Amino acid sequence: MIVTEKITKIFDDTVAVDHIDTVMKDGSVFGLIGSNGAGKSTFLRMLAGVLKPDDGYVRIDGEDVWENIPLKRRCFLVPDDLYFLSGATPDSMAAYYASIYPKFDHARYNHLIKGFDLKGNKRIGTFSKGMRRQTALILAISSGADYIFCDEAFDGLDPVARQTIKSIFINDMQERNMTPIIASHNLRELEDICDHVGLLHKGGILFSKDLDDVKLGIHKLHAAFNRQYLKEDFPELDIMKMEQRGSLITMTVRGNSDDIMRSVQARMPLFAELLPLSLEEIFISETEVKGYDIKKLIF
Amino acid sequence: MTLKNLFSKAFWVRLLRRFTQFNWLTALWSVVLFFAFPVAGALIFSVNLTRENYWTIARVSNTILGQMGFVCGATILVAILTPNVFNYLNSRRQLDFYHSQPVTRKELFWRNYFVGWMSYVIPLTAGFISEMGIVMLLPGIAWENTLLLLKGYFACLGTYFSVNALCILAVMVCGNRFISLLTGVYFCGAPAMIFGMFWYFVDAFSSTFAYSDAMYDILGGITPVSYMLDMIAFKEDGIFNEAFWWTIAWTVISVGTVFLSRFLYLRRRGETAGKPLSFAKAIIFIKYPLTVFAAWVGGILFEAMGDENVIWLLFGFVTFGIITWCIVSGLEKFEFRNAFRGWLKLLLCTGIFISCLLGIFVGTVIFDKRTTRDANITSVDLDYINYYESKDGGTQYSCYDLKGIEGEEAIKALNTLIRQGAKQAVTGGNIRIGGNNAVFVEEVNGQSDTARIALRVRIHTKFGSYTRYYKFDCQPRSDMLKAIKEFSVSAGAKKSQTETIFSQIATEASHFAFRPSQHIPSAEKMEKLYKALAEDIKNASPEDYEVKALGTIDINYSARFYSYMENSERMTVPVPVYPSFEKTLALISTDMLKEFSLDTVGEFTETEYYYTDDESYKKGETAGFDAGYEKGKATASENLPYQMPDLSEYMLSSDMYDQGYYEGFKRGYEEGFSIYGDPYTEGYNKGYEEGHKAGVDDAVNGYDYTVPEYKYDGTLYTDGYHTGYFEGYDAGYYGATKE
Repeated sequence: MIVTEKITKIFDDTVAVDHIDTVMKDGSVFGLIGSNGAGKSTFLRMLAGVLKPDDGYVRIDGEDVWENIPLKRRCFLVPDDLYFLSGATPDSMAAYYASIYPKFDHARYNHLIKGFDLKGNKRIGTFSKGMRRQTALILAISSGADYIFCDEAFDGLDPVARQTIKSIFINDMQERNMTPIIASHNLRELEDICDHVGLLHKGGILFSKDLDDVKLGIHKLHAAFNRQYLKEDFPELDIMKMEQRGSLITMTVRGNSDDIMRSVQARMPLFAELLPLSLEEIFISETEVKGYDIKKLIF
Repeated sequence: MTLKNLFSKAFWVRLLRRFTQFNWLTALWSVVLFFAFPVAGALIFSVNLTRENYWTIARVSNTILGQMGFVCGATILVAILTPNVFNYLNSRRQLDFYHSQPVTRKELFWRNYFVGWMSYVIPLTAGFISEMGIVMLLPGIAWENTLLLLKGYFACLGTYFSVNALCILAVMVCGNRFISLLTGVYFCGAPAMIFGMFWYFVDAFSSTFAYSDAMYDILGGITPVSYMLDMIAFKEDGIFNEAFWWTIAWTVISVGTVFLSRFLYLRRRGETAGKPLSFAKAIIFIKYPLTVFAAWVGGILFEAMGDENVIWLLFGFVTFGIITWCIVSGLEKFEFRNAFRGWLKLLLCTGIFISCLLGIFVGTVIFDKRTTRDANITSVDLDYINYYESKDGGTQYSCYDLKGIEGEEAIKALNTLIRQGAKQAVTGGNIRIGGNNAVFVEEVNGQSDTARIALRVRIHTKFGSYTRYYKFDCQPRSDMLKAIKEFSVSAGAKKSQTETIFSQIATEASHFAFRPSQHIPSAEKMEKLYKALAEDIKNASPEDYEVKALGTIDINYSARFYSYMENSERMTVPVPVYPSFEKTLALISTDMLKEFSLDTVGEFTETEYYYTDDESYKKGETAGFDAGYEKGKATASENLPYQMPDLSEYMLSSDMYDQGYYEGFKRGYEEGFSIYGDPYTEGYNKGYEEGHKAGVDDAVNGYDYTVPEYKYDGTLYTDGYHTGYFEGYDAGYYGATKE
């Protein structure tokens, strides 16, 4: 289990990560979402022991990750901007990682390389962006690491490769309790695989919850009334956003669905329905509340 | 990282893997060394061995030291390049790659540090061994010469160690490849730059402190490069000399620098990758000294260009300071606007700098005053070195032992020796007479080399010792008239007599120069003039010179004999020549303008050589010349063909005396054979007479250049006739035309 407590990272005069507390359970997929510059990559680099927090700590199974070699053997970072040794082939990279990851599984590596139709003896420099990403993920999975930190894990992958990687992740989670921590902008992709999500914004964390709890706790309401209602007219509801076009009101509301419907029905609507929110809509709503409303530049 | 981990198998496996990533550097360095060591060595040695069949120690040493010097120079470049192994620190994606791995930062540091070493040492050692093989396998080369190589090898390792340590420190301090390269160069050169400026400043107003032992002690090892060059240079003062202690000092400094780099590596923040600096406070050690140094350089530059005007000095100081400040500030944050911040700090820094200069100024002036006071001088040592550098790079030294001469007597002796030095420098070489413009052309060692005179004055005072050097060149080819006039002034001889004599000699010489066939100076007259001249200069007493202060050279000489150390200029002092009159007249009488050797002037018989090898060589050369001369003379007189006796015994000998004998004999035989070949002279005179007649006839009656028939039968007579005819013809033809 990974626990971060008040981890903070400051770059010059910019607070990249600001006192974040999270808990990432073993055997689940933790999705890290956030706006641009929210600090996702920095957060992952601190988890992987690349950066040292200026404040707070990162503990994996109760131990500090910084310069902790036995612990780092259980972690693997797949950054957004991939790097391979110059002139390296997948096979040579596998040999390289095998020398530093004792649990590196050559059989698994060979199986995956063949499965993804990659040539192990071909220079990685000649690969396409997606193939490079595949290679990096195959190496990460084959390393036998318990924690895989993926920054934009599916960036550049075709749909088939994406699904395959997800399946492999799920399989490894079941078989050996692997824990992927995935940072991405592609929320639809995360929605399929994540058990738990953390939303970062401007260095801080807005929430860190199970995906189901997130989805159950926030709803979109469409309702029509025979009179005009303002936000203040629903004091019992935690309304994040409200739009009114004529008699039709659209609200994003936090809370229990039954409680919300009960409150709306009490005002005798002409029509009312509660819709589930996608992760993307939740992201937009939550960040808008925090002032991240760049849509207004367009609309 | 524990010692156990350092030598673990996994560490070495990873190290070798990393090493293979830098095979381009190893390959590049190997190619350079391949040509610098075995190829250059084999080439130089084989070519010279074919030509000369023997080696003097000086020549082998020079060849080896030349090669080692080149390798040392290239080492600096490699030492600056190898910190490239740490460049992943400057790239975020590479940093993520390496620092996310389960490898400690300590191991990463040592791994990359050793990879740099391997890239350098493996090719160097291979090249060194191959060069050793060549040196040891060649015949006639003493095995002791390989020790020179070994010394150079360790000097290279030391140079690499120190320069590399400073450059790695620069990589740790900076976050950008280009900036770290600049900073590395700055770290290596900064001490020398700052010391150089300091020395220049002190030298401007102090005649002793700038030359004090303390200053020279610092100068010898101020940079890793200077101490290494000092280390491979020949040293007479045993193992525990200054170079040794500087080696110890630099080893300690370099070890400290490496561990400081390791310390900084562990504390280096990953997010600084790509930024100019990874430790912002390091700018204090870069920005301010560099700005002050550049300002200082600008001041000196403009002062020199502006004829030492203080206004120009200030202009250069301010403009260069501002420009450097702007550049460094711009680079500091990759933002030019940064140049307009922190001016107050710069002003404060400038104030501190000026205060330091004033403090140094006051201190050195006090030191200067004390050391030049007679009562404070405990003793004065003088070394007089007269040496000439031959074409092949060999240098021969002679030395006058002046120990025991102290005080004012030393100054007087010094002044005397300067005159003698000028004469000795010339008489150590050969004289050639001829040409249309240059009357007396002086050459040293038979080549167009340089004769130099150097003086070292060591003054011991109650407050420390200091040294002054005076070096000056003798003009290898000097016009007699000009040379005589110059010398008459510079030597400070009694002008009233000397100038008259010079004038007469010059007149005679000029006539000979322009009409060598028509105006042959009287032997008796010339000899008389030269003797008078020599006597005049010889009698010039030291009282003729102004002794300014004990321990400083006569002011007239200081003005004439510019010092290298003082002005960093190399000046030429023309000197007159003193030919051997017997031989001169013999040549003039036959118009055979050949090279000949001079007798050593008697008054310099006390000359001593530093090296016994050179002394043996010189003795052998003299003996060989005498023997060869007699042999050549006898051969020519008997009208026998030119046939050099078999000298292979001497030629192949490793004994320095024999080698000198061989060289001397060849020259002596050549000269004896040429000069005393009566048949040749007879033929020459006959040919000259007939040629001259034909030339005059053609000039008067119209050009009808005809060559008389003669049968060349390989005898000296026909050879002389042929040469004489053509020279006589030219002399007659042009002589009659001018009239």
